[in-house]
Amino acid sequence: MMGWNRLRWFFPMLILAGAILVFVLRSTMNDYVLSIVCFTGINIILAVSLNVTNGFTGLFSLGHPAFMAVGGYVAAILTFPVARKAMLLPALPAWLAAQQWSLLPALILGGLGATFAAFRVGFSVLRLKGHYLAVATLGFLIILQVLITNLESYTRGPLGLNGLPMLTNLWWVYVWAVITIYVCWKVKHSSLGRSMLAIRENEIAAECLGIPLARTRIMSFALGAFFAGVAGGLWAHLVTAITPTTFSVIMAFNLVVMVVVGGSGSITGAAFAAVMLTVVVEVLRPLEESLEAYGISEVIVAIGLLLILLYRPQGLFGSQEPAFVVRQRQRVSGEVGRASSYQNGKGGGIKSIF
Amino acid sequence: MATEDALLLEVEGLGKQFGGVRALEGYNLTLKEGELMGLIGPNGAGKTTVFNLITGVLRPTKGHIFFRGKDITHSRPDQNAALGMARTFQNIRLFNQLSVIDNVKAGVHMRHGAGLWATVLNLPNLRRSEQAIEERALEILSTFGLMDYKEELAENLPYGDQRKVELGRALATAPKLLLLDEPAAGMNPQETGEIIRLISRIHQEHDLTILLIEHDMKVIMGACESIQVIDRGEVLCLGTPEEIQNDHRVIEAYLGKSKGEGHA
Repeated sequence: MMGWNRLRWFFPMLILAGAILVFVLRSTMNDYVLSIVCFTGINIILAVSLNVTNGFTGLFSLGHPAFMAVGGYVAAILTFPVARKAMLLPALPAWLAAQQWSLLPALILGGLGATFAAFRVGFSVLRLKGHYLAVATLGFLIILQVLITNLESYTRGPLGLNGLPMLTNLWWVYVWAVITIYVCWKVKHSSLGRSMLAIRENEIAAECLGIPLARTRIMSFALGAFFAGVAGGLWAHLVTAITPTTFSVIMAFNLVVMVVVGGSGSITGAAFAAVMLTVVVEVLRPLEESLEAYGISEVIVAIGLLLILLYRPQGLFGSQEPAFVVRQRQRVSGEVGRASSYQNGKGGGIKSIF
Repeated sequence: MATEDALLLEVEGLGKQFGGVRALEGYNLTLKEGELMGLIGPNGAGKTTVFNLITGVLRPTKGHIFFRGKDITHSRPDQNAALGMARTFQNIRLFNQLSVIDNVKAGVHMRHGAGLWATVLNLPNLRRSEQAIEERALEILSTFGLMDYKEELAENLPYGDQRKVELGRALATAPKLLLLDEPAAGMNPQETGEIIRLISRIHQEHDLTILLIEHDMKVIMGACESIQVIDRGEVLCLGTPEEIQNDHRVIEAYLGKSKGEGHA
């Protein structure tokens, strides 16, 4: 029964430890460090949610920033103070100009907007595979950028919206990161998640086992998009500005790098890679400035990616979660001793990292 | 004529064209419930095409397919699976990066899996669903003697055991009709014997109807009650193993005409 107790407490303790960390950080660190931690958290949300689409179901999507943009703009327009709306967005319809929402409903509506966009795009695009899907989602990202740029009465076009209320703080980011990880974890370790992984591994076999291809793919696409939309809203209210060029191809690249480096399908891996990448870029920033060698961090990230692809193509974590968590899961179902064989496969490279 | 409801699968005038190539033409097949029929023919005769058309992996250009009284000519594979059709593949298609038990569990998903909301909100039926899936999967693994490989990645298994996992995964969908595409391909005589016994066993225990493609005559003659022979996309003949063995058309299709006969 000990294992059962331990598992029961493992995740709540982890969440509590995180909350204490947030509290400590907020009372000791300056705003600059806190904003970096917030960006790290937002990147965790993005990487883990993209992992549902790219990692679980194997849909190579470059459209994640597009869903961020949808969520970001929807949330930004909703929270924008009425007085500033009258000034910056005079052409806004009256009913919308009168809205001034608080952050939570704005984030959720932003997420739902992104989900809706994912459904709409998914129906036409998800029959494509591999490179074709990547190109199509990239096309969606660019179309959306052009749309935002030209929808001036809602978005102020290329100028973007600035002076948004700074509503995002580390608590908001933390809670959403926990929700994202919880939902993705739950999905992965359930029958639904197995059916997604089955599609990634072999579409025809999955379909012949009665797994509906289109429905499952769209579900994973839309689930990823929801959290991307929320992350977009958090982002907008952290930077306090939002422009169409924020959500760029570069960002899509960085997010895909996080999933690939972490290991497609591994939630721990995606979160770990998101932290690493954000921190590396931030740590290198002062170096760039003192050397006046701008772009060094991008070069280092790219070299890192190349090395991973050459020497560890399945990513740091493969499809798996760390062995100690998995072992606890299995102890629960009363199967000690078999857990170690989980590490023998391709994906079990955890030991080499820790 | 047998009673109508005893018919499980009925295929009428099925045809498939790939561009200019006629892969199958005027194909007919009737399977009664509980039957174990073999499908043989030389390479390129269209056997796998028949499977792909019946399961919905390919869409036929002509003809009709009826399964359990329903017209499934234009159904998708997952719809057919839901109706009770399962198959294995000539070139094994396992979920390589998943463990053996997860492969089988993926097969149970259709019958017992919980939906998105139940999963995310941790509703009570999620636990029940996962329990049912686990029980079913373990039951199948022990039937197939795969318990020792339970947590092993499917791709790490020896070839013969991979075939067994695929068969178990198909059985996990609780099918009425099982389509087996060369289940003994690449196996040694001992493994072949084992797979024949397994097929006969699940045929009886699970109340299955089986259609079996095989090149190994030992499997065909040992397991099947009746055999259909196709050649160049058309049905050549149908009969018991003894009848087929002595049918001169079958011998011709496999070996060609003898010189004397050719000139006759």
